[in-house]
Amino acid sequence: MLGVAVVTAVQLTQRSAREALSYTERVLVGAVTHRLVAQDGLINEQVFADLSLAFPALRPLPVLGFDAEVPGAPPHALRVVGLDLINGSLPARGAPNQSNSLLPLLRDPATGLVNSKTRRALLSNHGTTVELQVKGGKTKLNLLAAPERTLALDLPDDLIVVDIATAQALANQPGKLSAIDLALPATDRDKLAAAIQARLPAGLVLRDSAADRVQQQALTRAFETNLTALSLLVLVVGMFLIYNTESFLIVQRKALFGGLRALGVTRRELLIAVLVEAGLLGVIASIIGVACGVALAHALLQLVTGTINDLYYRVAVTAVSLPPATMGAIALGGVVATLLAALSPALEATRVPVTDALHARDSSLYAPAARTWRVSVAAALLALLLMRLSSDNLWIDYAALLALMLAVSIQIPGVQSLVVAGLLTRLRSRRWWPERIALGNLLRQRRRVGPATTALCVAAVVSVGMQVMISSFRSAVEVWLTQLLRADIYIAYTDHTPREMGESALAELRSKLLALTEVRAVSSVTRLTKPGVNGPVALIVYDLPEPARAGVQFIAGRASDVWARWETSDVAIVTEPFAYHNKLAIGATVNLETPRGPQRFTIAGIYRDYANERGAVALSRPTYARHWPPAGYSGLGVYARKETGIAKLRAQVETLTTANASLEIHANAELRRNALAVFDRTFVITKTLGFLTLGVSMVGVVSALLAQQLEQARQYGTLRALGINGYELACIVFAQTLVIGVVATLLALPLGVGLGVYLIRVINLHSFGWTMPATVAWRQLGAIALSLLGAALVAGIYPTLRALHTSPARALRNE
Amino acid sequence: MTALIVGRGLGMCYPGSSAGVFEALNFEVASGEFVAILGRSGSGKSTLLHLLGAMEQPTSGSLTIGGIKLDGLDDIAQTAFRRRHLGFVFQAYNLVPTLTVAENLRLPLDLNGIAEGDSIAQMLEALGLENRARRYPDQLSGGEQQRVAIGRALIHAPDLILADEPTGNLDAETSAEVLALLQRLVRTRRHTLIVATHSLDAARNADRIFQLDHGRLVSP
Amino acid sequence: MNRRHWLALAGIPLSAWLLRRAPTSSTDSPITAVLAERDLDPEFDRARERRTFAFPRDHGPHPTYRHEWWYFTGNLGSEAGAAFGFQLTFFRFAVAAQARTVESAWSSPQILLGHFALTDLKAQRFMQFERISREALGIAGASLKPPAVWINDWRSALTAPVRHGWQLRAAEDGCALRLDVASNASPVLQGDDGLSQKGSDLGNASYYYSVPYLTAVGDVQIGAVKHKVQGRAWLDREWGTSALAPDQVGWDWFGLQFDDGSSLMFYCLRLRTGARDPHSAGTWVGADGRVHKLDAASTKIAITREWTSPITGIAYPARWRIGIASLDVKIEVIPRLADQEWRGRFRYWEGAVTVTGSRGSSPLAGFGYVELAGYA
Repeated sequence: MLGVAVVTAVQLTQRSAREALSYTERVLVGAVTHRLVAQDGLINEQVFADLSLAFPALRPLPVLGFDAEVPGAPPHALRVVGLDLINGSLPARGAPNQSNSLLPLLRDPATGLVNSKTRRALLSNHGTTVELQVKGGKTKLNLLAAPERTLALDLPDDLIVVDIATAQALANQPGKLSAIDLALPATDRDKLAAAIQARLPAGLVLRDSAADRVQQQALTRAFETNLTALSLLVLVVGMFLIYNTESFLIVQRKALFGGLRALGVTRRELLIAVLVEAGLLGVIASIIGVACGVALAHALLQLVTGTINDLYYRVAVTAVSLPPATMGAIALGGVVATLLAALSPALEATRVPVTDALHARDSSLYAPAARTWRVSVAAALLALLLMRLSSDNLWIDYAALLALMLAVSIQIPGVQSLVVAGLLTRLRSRRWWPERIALGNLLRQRRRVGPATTALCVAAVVSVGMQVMISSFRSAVEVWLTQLLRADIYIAYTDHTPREMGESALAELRSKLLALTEVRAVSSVTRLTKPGVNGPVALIVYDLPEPARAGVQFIAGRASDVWARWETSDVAIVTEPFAYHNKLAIGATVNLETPRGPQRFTIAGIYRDYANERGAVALSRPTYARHWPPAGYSGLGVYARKETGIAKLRAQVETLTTANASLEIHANAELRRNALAVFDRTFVITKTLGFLTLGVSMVGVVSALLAQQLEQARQYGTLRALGINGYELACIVFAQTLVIGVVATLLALPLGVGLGVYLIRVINLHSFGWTMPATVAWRQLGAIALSLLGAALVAGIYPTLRALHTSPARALRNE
Repeated sequence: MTALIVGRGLGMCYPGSSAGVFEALNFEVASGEFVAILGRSGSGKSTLLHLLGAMEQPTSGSLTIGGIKLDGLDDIAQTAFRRRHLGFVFQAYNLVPTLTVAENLRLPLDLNGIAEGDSIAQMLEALGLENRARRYPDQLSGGEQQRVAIGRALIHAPDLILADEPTGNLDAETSAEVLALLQRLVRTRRHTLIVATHSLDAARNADRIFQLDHGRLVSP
Repeated sequence: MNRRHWLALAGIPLSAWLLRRAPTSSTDSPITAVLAERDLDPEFDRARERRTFAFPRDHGPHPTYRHEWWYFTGNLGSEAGAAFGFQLTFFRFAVAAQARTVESAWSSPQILLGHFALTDLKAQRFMQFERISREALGIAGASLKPPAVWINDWRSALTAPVRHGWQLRAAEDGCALRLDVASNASPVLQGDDGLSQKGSDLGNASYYYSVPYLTAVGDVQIGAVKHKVQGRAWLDREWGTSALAPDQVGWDWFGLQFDDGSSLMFYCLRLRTGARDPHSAGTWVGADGRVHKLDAASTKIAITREWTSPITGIAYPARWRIGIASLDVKIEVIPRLADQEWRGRFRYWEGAVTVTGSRGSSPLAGFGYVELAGYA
């Protein structure tokens, strides 16, 4: 159930986040094939007029979208989209009166359309007006509810639709559009697109919407795959649990089964009965699991969209979308997993010799362990084969991982037995009698204890592995950031301000900064998207004065070579993910579309970059200027002279920027801190999953110990009768738990480190394209080890307490 | 011979049931005696054995074994008493299944802090199980298991051996063998033995027979 | 008389029916809602009293009124024997009487709707195109100096004011029309000196004039083939702010041009009961320019045939016999193509017709256009 819950939660969260991404501005569906945007900022509406008149059959649709928020604690973030409602920007459906709802938007300059849920949320008390904070200041907007079932598309949450004129007024952007949507006919589409692009002024790009959507989805795909795989892992651990529980249930009723068989119930009938029971339990548990998963998804969604907000762009958090098909599929998967896991114990139940039941004996309990080494070898070989096969396919990587984990985890009970037997030979002296009883129990009851230990161990391995990966990643990012951020002060636009081509607050600021005596140098960066061979390419244009250059960490190519040609030749440096995804090496070329046609840039260096998993190409500003019209700035870095204090410099910079509310200033340390905070937030989900896994397996340990106790009720009674008091008995149980915990922890540490290395070298590389050194933070590992041990011990608390209160008479009463 | 066990006005009834199991039993057992408690199933003989075995507290009356008052003891004290002074033989053998024969025999020694010495080897010989030392209980026959149980009950030289239907799970031939072994060992070591049974055969060689009938002791 | 108004009105149930038949999404515009409104902004100007018409000024827009149109229809032929009917209509609707007080080029309350149709009689095809746009950024609009109305590259502009001469341009999807039309005669004021009452309430009227006989020269292009054409055209102009009378359900409008230079305009308002509304009226303009007013009593119109659209299932009258006793006119009006049905946001039938008959003892023949609205 927990496993199902987690899988449900992750799937729903991912789907919702994905939909949120694609909904936020794309109210139009179907017909729109291309979207025209400015690379930096907004589009002059004259472009729209020009396009309309030049291509009369085209019917372009104007869009002006911007962020707004309803002030409050906390403020409610919204997106406002202005559309040409006359032209039918909102696809309609059915009923004749739908256009009535659009009339007020056309007449009243302060009216907008929202879906009823958002309307309820925003107009909490009364009235129909909400106050909005937009870039231009505060404004009031009348909110109308979108008529249900009359728009072909349900408006997403937190989206206000207004007329384009209203949008321009609200955003204080008269004469501007954020995008122009086009529906190009299928015939000669590319020729038309090229003709349109040719007509556009510099800085405007015609993007293929389908390709764009694919791109966006590729962004989160790696993210998603990892999450899904981890959640499936939780399900696998859950299957161990099911195995345990089923065994437990069967153990309890051994006598019953034997009796049934004695009465003449066939093996097959018994098997079916047990499986049906397991199946029913599975159905109930899956349903509860899915319900819990939905609740969990709500929580996770906040985390995920927080991450997306941080990393990509603003997304209005929508509700968890609940497609019945997905939930049904997961529930079904839970039932199937239950049946699979229950199969072995069920078969065991059918094989209970009749005599066993009659004599209240469990001859299978001490059966020698199955020959598992064959399975291990086979699984290991499979894993190796898969690893050979895998080039980039994350699913093959995870399959190989699973095979490897199977190979290893099957051996865990055997390893535990070895350890226990070894301990037994050492603890010969008299005073270890409780421990010897405990060890004897562990040794001889592999069938019961084995799966629980394995589950705990596997969960521990996963936890350790993820922790190793995360901490390696984090320290790599930290090191990278430290080396990268060399400027003392950074200045950039705040997120919500669109930038203009040509006119740039930063350009002015830059010249002023260079004039200051405290300033040694100013670096700059501009982030653009340019069409490349395989689609749009993220292009970074750098102004890197001497002190900034050391910040670029080359993985391939010599820095001195690069800088020698950096500004004078047509060279580019690319980020590691870019080189990886496009399979490029030093000396290869990157083709970019310039206004004068395609241009080749030689790759002189490959550098480390964890900021963008799509990868980017970087050019020096002089190189860029040779092929494109001048670009504005996205950010500046200010380097102080050695003698200058940072505080003084910052004060100077602030005086220069106070007039401009659209700029933000960050000190170096602040920036690094913020970036790491984003990183930490991003991995909260992964860590949470790790804890959940551990929790799931703890439950397994508890159930195994309880099952064991049930079987050993008689043994405990005997021991009590022999003169072992409750505390001593509790010690025995506790010792068992301790051994399980210690073995699991000791095994988990090296295996977990191995998993971590695999995650770094294979999964991370194939997902994103970047490499990092695998660093093991011993202190953190120690902390994990302690918490694993603690988890095992906590799992043992309840069984221990029960043992404490065993009454000999009651235990032996069945004579 | 001194009275090892003295029971005065011993009564036992369980909460929730109106009738008591038995009430106001008075008896004495001398040291070294072999007493058989006869009674049909449900007559309360197991309960009486539990009381004698310091596993339950009587609801009324007093019970003294070896001068130690059992009624009123807390669990720890009861456990300690059992450990030192008592040995049990159960109908279902109740060997610790995860310990070998030798380890099962060793258990009471370890519990009482008695050095092993030769005692285990000697006991195995006395039981006739020398070449079964390393076997686990599930690898032994019923009779062999009961013999190990007897060995376990005696190995730490307790004052009193309590046997609850020791031959209940055995066939007639093995029963006779086991009973003979038990009695022989008890006699040679001069332990007191109380056997609760419904089989007259088991009670045949007893010094005295207590009969529990409807909660009353007959012919003490 | 406000037949276009009725057109709009009829459009609502028509489009509702259309949407009912096609439940999948279609882009819709608030235009239907605009037209369906009953409570009209009191700030609109209304046609309450007679006014002085001044040309060329009145060829231009009157934006203070809620709706307005420039309705060009005509019959054209080429020397090679091709024959066409054409319709180019520009409607202007105002969403509100005042522009919204926002700083934006999109804030104009005026909406332009264009209908362009070509009937290719040789190929027996009827092609219809619709455009809609708000008046913004110069992409669409109606201007005063010079009087013109356009939606992107569809345009009609008064290029020769003295001769009331217009230049018409429209193109879409492989069909193009380039026409110069002009008339020697003055515009004809319909109704009561241009005040056309459509219902009994004051203000329930519009200003209506026609230029019924325009000579047309230009070309029609269909696909790769360009035809040099000439023929006759008709311009109907109307503007006003009015609501509808509840018992009226549609109308039949005839605009006929005879070879002798005379022309007939008659609109037949149909009531819900099936009877003809006594407000039905028309004009006969003689070749000499004299205007005869016609009313419901004097003009008899009989429907002699019907046609049912195979696509929408609507039944339209498809042949008429018109008799005007006072002028001794007996004519038969025959559609040049059966299917000239508009099947877009609005549904009506508008098509080229031929006329044969007599006036007195002399034969009478010609071409024209007929519009049938409210049949859905």
